[in-house]
Amino acid sequence: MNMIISAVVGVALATAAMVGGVKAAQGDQQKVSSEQLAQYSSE
Amino acid sequence: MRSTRLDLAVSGLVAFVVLGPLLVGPGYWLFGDMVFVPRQPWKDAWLGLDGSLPRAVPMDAIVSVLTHLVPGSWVQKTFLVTAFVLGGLGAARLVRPYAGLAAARAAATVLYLWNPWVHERLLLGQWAILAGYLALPWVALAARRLRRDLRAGWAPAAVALAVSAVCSPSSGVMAVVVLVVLGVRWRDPRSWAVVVALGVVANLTWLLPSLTADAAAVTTDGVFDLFAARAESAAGVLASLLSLGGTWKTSILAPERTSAVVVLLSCLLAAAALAGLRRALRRGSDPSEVRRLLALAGVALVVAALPTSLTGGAGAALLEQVGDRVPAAALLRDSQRFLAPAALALAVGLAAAVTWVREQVAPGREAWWAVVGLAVVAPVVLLPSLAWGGGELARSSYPRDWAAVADLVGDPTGPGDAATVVLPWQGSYRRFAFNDGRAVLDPAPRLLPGEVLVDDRTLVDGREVPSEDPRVTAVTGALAAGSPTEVSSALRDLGVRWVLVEPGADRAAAALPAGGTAYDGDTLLLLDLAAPATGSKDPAQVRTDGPSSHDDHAGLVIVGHGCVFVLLLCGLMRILHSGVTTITSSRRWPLKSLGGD
Repeated sequence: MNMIISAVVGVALATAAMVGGVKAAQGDQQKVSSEQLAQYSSE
Repeated sequence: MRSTRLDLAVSGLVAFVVLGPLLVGPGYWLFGDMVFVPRQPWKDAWLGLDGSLPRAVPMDAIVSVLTHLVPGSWVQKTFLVTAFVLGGLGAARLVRPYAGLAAARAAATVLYLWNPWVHERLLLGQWAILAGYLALPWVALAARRLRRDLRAGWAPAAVALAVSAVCSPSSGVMAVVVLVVLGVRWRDPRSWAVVVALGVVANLTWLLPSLTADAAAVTTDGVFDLFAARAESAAGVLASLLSLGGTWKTSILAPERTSAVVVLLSCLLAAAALAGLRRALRRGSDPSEVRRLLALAGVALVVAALPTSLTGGAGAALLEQVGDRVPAAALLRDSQRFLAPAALALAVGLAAAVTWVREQVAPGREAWWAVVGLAVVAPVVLLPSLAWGGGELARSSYPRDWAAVADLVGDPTGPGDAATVVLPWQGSYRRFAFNDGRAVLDPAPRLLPGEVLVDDRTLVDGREVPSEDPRVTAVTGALAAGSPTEVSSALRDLGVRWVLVEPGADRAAAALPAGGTAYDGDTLLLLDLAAPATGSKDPAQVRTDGPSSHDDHAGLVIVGHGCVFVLLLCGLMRILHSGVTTITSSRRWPLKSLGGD
């Protein structure tokens, strides 16, 4: 039982860390050109 | 007491990991709508007394007062850290009846403080709305107390509602919804009366300025579709919403949220929380509260999803029709923000789920502890971009030009009531070199005294949402008057004396209104158009077709603020008087003793 649980936890953790971590490390915030700056907005 | 220290430690740790870059040195976080200035001069607008739409009323008033006592950067740091720590502490207290161990509370706290909703609102710079979200656990705790004892429960409910309403209008509305769903005894008219009365009075601080605003027209045309929640990844919009993400502003998305795998794993975490709620519903001591939490999450999800592609455009069309008749419906644009109450249900559910997992630990099955640990760290692993301010939010400091310009515009020997127009006249967001090029709301309206006019038209995906202030439209016309002299004359007729030219604007004389140079710095140029021409219209009168009536309404607005202040004061005094430091403690008022419906 311990083996199965550990494997499931390990796979979930590794998948999240690999996919999410790599994406986060690689990806910068999307830049918006100065011409389109007026498109920045919120409430 | 030990458990409270532990909860504080978890909340403090999360706050530090998220806000760290802001805390480790001097300077400001300036991005999106997050604008703090060294000293924010007082203006009637901060209390909604000028007839404009109340966007940050009365939070701007509070910030203005505080920045007269301490530097604005301290105010910013204090607000954010306090909100995070108290929010985490509130979440831990909320889930206590469902959490059989400290790790369960920690998992709930981490999930509440570290999720896509928090990340997206933080990067939007909507710090006040974020503070309102972090007040929600205290609203839920007050609702629990109110449901148990109407007489003793009104005080914490009043305080929680007033604090939420001060944060932002949408926070105030969400707090009322949370209090109604979690705190009302459905068949008790007194319960309804108390909740409705508290909800209305607590929100007067922005309700009255909204109702008496004569200077603005709310635009709902197309805004619900423009600001609808969007899919972050191939997993679709529903998966984004279920995992508390889906902001309309794709440029601030965490990179990992564009991965369907990550979004679906986040949905798994949400599913675990729902399973925990299901278990609490069956075996918990207060199934009524669990049902209410599920209903709350459902309502939040429906509101957030209404204008999205999930409804095929029908939801957005419906909201527009409602908005045509009831302008207040404009509050529902950017619907994803109304997903916030769902995080309460997920936090409670995750605590219950972790408690169940803990119960599975037995000789030969010790590995279940790993699942407990996984639940605590999962929100962080699934959203690493929230760590250390996303890794991109360095602190900034204003160049000296800004203080110099503020001194000139605020010169007490000059004519009063002179307005300032800020160029470039193209949107209200700027990229300053001193701010590392991050887009931020123009700080001029908060830094300069007097009325400051900035082009606040909104462009999203090439579609324009017109300004809600007719004065902005008037300035747009004046700037197109023709020659620099004609432009200058037209601006003076509108009551404008100063023109602040920021980086990005064309500084050629032919492109600027005719006027004397009051200040010419490295980054800022200030033009003095001289005193407004004789017979120029009063700025307030330009706003409307007829005479302005906001002076008549100012007294009413002040009364509204006074009511909220008195409510807050009475609530606090009642809490202190009755020694209700345990208003939220389940030890003194165990859940099973709570009244049912």
